[in-house]
Amino acid sequence: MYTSVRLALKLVVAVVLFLSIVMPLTTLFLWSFAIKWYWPSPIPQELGTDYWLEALGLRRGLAIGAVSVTTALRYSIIIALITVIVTQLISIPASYALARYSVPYKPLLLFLFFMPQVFPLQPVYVNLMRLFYTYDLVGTIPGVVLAHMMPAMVFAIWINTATFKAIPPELEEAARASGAGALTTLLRITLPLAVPGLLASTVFVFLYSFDEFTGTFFIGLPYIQTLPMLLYSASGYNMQFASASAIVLLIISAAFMLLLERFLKAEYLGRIG
Amino acid sequence: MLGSLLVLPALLVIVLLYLYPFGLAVWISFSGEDGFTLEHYQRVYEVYWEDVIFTFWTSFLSAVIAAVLGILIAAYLRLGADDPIKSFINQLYRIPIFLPMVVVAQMMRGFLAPHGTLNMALFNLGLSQPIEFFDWKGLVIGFVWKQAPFMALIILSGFLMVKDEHIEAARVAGASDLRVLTEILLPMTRNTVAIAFALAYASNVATFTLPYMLIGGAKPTAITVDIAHRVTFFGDWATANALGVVSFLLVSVFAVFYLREMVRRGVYER
Repeated sequence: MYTSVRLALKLVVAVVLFLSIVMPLTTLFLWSFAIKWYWPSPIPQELGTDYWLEALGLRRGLAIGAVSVTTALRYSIIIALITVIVTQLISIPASYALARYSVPYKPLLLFLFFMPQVFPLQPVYVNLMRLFYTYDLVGTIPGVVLAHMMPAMVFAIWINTATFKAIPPELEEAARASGAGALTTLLRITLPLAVPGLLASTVFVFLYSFDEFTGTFFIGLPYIQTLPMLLYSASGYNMQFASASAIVLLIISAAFMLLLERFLKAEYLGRIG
Repeated sequence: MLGSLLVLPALLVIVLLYLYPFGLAVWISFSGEDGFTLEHYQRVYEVYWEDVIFTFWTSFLSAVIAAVLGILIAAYLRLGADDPIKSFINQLYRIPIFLPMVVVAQMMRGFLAPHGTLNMALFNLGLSQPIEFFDWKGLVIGFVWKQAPFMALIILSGFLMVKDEHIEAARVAGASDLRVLTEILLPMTRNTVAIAFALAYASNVATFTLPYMLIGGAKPTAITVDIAHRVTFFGDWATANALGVVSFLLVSVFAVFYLREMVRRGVYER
């Protein structure tokens, strides 16, 4: 008797959890295929792929001019790739130093590198926008890359420093003792051992930039339409188109997140998007 | 010496792209025509005070609900018997983690709209009037939907560090699961739970997408929406920055706790 009540209770909780997670998601998918959906029918009266064809640029749509998901996707990927390269070029040396050398004012540095993680970034972006106007960086790819790089770098530094810390210094010392130079040791011993961690931070930075909204909103719009921006612009008046682009964004984000989930702590995952 | 040199580029990036605009926000918020002024804060108080309070309590309430749900999910996954239901829930609860906030916002627009799926379901269940969700309710639902799984994931990682022996000992002594949770698991992972809460609350205060896409300019709305309007419609950086400083203040207690905890640990973990 007692166990069956318990089982029933568990089932009810599982069903409620299932519905509250899956129902909003189902709505999104239904909307992307809805041609006609009038109140109060629980499902669309007419389904079709019209808006998907428009979104994917396979058919010219009436909405949002010539912009399709593919154009926005190209912007997003280019910006994310440049952000990854610039961010890693700067964060990997810094991380190596933080892991191996005594750096003066270290607690202060740590404090600085943690600040963007907790304080709201929007006021910073608002002022960056004003500064970037004077250097003609607003509405350009370099401007958006700089906006993405700043917070992404902070996280990359933490992930990379942890990676280097996990490599025993004895291995490097042994290589040096057997006659290898500093550069050889770095290239043949340290970096190969760091590859998995560095890959994790690379994927993290890519996804951070790919999903970034607030910085792109202030620095990039209206010229730089990344996928999140396209989704936002469509959201006001074209439910179907917005839902289709949301699903494209969702699928790509989820694929990278699945990769990251295995390598990174939950605290990091929570910072994306 | 070499160490400082390697850190220098990263430091420059933080100083130029973060610290400088951060300081600028504070500076501009206190600068008037002739020097120091509090008039921008005066305007915040007169025009936006309702929104400041609104931002605080919706962020806080969402974080509390997400924490409670997160703790319950984590406790179940730590203490519950291994069966198909548990492995199902273990996969299920993580789904929201994979969605960026802008997708969550778009999804909630369709789900919570006056004629959206939720109201449709409630109507078919017999509710006569659609409920308006594009206010604090939608905001809290969106935040909780996104944050509770994160809280569960972070807290579960803490719970998993508590050794089985502690739990077994309590059970042998006759403790129920609830008592194991409140007297063993939670006290031993207090800092982890507090950090998860601080992060969730701070990120709610800072979130722009969800209130912007759900509530927009309707009153009351979140500070982030007001800042965007102040800048994009009026080119009014002074009031926008005063609002920005207020949002710094809203998270400051939690931020200082988090920063102290992090610098104290000084360890780097992936």
